[in-house]
Amino acid sequence: MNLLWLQSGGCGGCTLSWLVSEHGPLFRELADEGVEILWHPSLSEAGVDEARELIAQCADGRRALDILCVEGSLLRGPQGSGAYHRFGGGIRPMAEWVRQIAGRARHVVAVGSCAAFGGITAAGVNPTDACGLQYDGELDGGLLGSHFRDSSGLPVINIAGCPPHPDWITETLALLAHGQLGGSDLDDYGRPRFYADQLVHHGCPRNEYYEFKASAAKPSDQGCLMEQLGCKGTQAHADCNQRLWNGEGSCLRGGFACIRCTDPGFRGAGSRLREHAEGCRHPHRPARRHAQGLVRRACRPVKVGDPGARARERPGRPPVAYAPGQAWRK
Amino acid sequence: MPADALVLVPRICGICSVAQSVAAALALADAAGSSPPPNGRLAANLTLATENLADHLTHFYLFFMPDFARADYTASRWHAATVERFRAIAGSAPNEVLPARARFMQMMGLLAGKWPHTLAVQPGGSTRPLQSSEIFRLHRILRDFRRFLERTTFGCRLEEVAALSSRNELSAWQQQAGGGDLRPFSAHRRRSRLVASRAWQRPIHELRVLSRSRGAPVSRRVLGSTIPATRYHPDQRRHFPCLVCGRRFAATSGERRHSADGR
Repeated sequence: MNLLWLQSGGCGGCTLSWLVSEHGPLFRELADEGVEILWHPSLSEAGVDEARELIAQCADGRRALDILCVEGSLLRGPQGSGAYHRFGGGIRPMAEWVRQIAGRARHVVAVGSCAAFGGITAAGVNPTDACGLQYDGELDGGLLGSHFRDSSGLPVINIAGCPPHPDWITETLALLAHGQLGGSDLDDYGRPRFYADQLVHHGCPRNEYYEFKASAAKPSDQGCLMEQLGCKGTQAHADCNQRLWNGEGSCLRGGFACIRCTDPGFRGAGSRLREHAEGCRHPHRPARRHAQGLVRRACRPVKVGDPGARARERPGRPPVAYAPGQAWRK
Repeated sequence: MPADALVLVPRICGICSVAQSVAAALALADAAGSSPPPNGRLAANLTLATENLADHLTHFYLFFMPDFARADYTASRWHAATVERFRAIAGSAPNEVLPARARFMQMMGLLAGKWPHTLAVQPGGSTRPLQSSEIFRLHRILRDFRRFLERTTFGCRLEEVAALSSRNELSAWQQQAGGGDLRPFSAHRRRSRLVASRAWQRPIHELRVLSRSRGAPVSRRVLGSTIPATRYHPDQRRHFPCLVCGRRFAATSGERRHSADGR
């Protein structure tokens, strides 16, 4: 299967994340899976000038394209012209190229939360009128419209994440190359279920702290990061704590809160983080003030290098069972 | 809100994500009149240095050298060898370098949780306290990377490359036997402005310092509505705007939390 990769409003971090794939040489693995890169703006030898002809061929159907990968959100502004990003200095806006090629490609893949939902590029007042391929935040529509289906009947495949894990990208491409990715393998937001069916909470090494409601008060503390630092791992769809990042990492293992970057609403942690940190509490917690008292008692400062030494047992108080799927109460 | 900067700023660029994070964190720390504890500074610097080193490698092997494999250079005598070695995607170098780079970036898994776009670098230091075994693992990764550089990139010990201080020394070094990818590059292309980088020394130095002082705190709370301890007299009661929500609250000492007692 051949693959064309286009970049628009984004940071290029998805490509860079992809390149730290840890299963041997990435390009060889792609070749083994039968994926051939026709053109990629950072990785291919051909510059934009040489690629323009190739892209024109893909757009008008002279060249059959199997997988179109789009990284970065699509810029519709100003005034709906798309002129904020014209491909390679040409006249036609990138959004227009993408719309045309998507209509002909066998599969359309949005790599990263920007291409999927608009992401960071659409944050704030969204001056460039950025959106995702098939979503604009939580609203379906986006550039291609909610009714878009590729020639095999699939919607846009959203490898959401900021950035996505390298394996999410490689495995999605491999599944497509083997014809193994069907509509039932995508979740409600078009994300491949092999990673989006999990929660970041699953496999989080801080789960015991969560269950015993021992919360960290500041970064680098031990303890659950949800209550005071606004971690959204219990709601974030991704397998980050089961399929680790860069060897043995993940956001939670790095000591900072999950910001739910695979979520359609992800446009920076900002207001949502604050709202969460102020309004959240553990499930089953009767009242916030009471909870804080508990936390202060349960989470006395723990010295770095002294893992789990103190303040973890609270005799007489049975652990509250984790109730997956339980709705949040504000 | 100020804390947003740590999420938004690294996403300016996916290549130099941590460099952006560090800039944002420094700006926020400056605004708050705070500074990280020594170990936090070391951990953040180490994170930055790791990205910096990886970027040198990425730039050389993936973004820069493939250009010399283009047909424009067919007439040059080094062209055939360059095509075999550096051609984009299919060359032998990219396929050798990517696994070494991925192995090296495991430093980031330990130091920063993930790369790119980490939130481990904070105005108050780093969110990631390193245990002694983890520092050992960092050393191990760094040793692997050093071996890769000495065998594949430079064809000599790192100290030799780092000691090159002039153009003449560089030319003399190019003439020596030893192989490596950099030597023929500089010999054939006369990139005379290339200066040997000492960037590799920095993580080694900082790891050394970090190993000596393990167990000390790596983070000071700056953004999570704590007041920087250094700026105010501990007994002085004054109002301070919470850096997360902007509400002012009365504070007496450095470690008082905004919401804990409801003031």
